[in-house]
Amino acid sequence: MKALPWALAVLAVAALAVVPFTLSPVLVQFGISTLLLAVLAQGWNIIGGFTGYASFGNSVFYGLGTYGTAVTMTKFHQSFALGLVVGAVVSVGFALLLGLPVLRLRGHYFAITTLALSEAVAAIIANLGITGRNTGLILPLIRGDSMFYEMSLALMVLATLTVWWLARSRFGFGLIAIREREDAAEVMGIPTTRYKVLAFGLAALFSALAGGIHAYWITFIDPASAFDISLNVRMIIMAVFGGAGTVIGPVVGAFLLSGVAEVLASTVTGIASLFFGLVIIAAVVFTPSGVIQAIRRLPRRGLATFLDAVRETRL
Amino acid sequence: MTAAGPPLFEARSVSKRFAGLLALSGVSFAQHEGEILGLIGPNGAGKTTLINLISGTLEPSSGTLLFEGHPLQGLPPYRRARLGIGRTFQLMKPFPGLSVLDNVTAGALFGRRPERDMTKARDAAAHWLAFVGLGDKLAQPADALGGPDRKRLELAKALALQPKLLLLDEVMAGLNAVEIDEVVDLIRRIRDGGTTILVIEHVVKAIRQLSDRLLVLQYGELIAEGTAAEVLEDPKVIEAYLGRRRH
Repeated sequence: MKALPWALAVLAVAALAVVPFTLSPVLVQFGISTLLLAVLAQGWNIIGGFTGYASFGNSVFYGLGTYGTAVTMTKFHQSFALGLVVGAVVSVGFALLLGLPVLRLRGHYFAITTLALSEAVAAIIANLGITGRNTGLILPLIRGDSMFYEMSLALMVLATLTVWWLARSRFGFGLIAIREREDAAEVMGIPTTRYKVLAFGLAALFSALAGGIHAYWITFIDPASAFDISLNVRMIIMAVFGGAGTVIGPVVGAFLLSGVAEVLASTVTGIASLFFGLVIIAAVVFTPSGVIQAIRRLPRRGLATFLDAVRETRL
Repeated sequence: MTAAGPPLFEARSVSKRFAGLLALSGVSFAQHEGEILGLIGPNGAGKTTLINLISGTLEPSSGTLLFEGHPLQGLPPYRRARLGIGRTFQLMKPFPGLSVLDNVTAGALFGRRPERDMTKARDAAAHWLAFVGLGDKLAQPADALGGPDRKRLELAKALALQPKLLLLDEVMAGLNAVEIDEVVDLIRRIRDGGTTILVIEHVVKAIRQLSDRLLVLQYGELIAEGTAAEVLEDPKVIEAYLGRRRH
C-alpha cells in the first residue's frame, strides 16, 4: 500500500469536509448534489464497471431508497435514520429478488429490461395510496445544509472505500472475471450468479442511501423525480467518463461533469444535456478506460495514448 | 489396463439431445485415477458435447455422470470446478483485459483448494505459468499472446484449479510438430503430478503417444475402446475416418 495516494485522498476528504464552514451556501448545495451523484456513479461502477452489466435499474434503487425513507418518516412518523434503513432494505431486497432473473440477460437485453423495470416500478408507486400516488410526499422540513453535506461526504467516502476493497478482494476479482468472460469465469470456480446478484445488491445499497439523503434534504418527492431515468444516464456518463472499473474514476467524473454542467446550465438552459451527450461520445471514443486511466498513462506515453485510443476504437 | 478401486469418473449411458439431433447416445465409460484417456472421432461426433456435460456447461438428457462415486447432476459448473474438474476450451477463452498472471490467479482463488489471499494466489499462478513455460510473460495482457502461448495459458488456467480430472479440448490444434511435442511432454508431466486427464485430440500421433486408453466417438456413439494400437487398427474406426471401402 503506497503512502502518497492515501495522503492525497485524506487531504482531499479533509478539504471537502471544511467546505460548509468556509464557502457560500450555494456552493454547499452544489456540493451535496455532486457528492450524491458521486455515490450514484460509484454504485453504478460496482455493477457496470466491475461486473460489466450496464444497468439502467440503478435509478430504481435510488427511487426505492427515496420512497422507503419518505414513507417511513411521513406515514409511520419514524426517524430519518430508520427511514434510511428501511429504504436500503427495500431497495437491496428488490435488487436481490429481481437480480436473479434479470442478470441472466446480457448486453442490450439486460439494459433494456432494467430500463423497463424502472418504468414499471414508477407506475406502481404512482398508484399506491401509501406513497401518495402521483402527488408525491412532503417530508418534515429541516434546515441544515451542513449536516446533509457531511452525510453525503461520509457516504461518498464509504462508497469509494467499498470499491477500493472490491478492487483488491477475491470477490471483486470474481466480478472482474465475470465482466471479462462469464462462461470462462464459471468453469474457473466462480459462482457467477451469486456474485452478480450480490454486486447488484451492493449497487442498490449505495443508490438507496443516496436517495434517502436526497429525499430528506429536498423535502419533496414524487414518482417523476424519484424514478428519473436521466439520473441513471448521468451516473453512467460520470462513471464511464471518469473511468468505469477504477476506484476514484467515478468520483472524479462526477465532480468534473457536475462542475461543467452547472456552469453551462447557468448560461443557457438546456445546453447541459447537449454537453452530456457530447461527453459520452468523446469519452467512449477517446478514452475508453476513462479520464483516470488517460491521466495515469499520459506522462509515460504522451501522445501515443491518444493515438492508441483512436486506434482501439477503429476510427 | 484396469486400476484398483472405483473409477474417478464414470459415464453411464449418457445421452444428449439438441431438439431433433441426438448429439450423444448411450455413452458409457469409466476413467481411473492417474489414467490418460484419449477421445477421438470425426467432427461433429459429440466430443466437445461430452466435455460440456462433464464440466457442467450442459446437462445430459438422460444417463448419469459420476465423479468420485457421486452424481454430478444439477451441480453448476463452478461447483464442479471446485470438486476438481478443470477444463480448457477448444476456442480459447482467456479473460482478454487481464494480464496473463491474473488470468491464472482466478483459478488459484476459486479452485479446488481456494487460496483466499491475493498475494499467495498470484504466487501460485506464477508457479503454474512457469510450469507451462510462460514464466517470462506474466505482465502481458492475455489478448496480446500468440496462438501457442494462448494454448499454454489455457492449460495454466485449468491447472491453477488443481483439478483431479483435467479435460483438454484440442489443445494441440494449430500447433506445429515441435510445439506438439512440447505439449505432449507437458501433459505427461501434469499426469505425473497426479492429475487424471481426458484428452480430445485430432493429432493422431500425439494421442497415440499419450493415451493409456482410447475411446472413439462417431455420430454420438462410442464405437471403439481399447489401447491406441488396438483401436487405431479397428476396421470400424478406419471406416469412420476414411469411409467405407468400395467392393
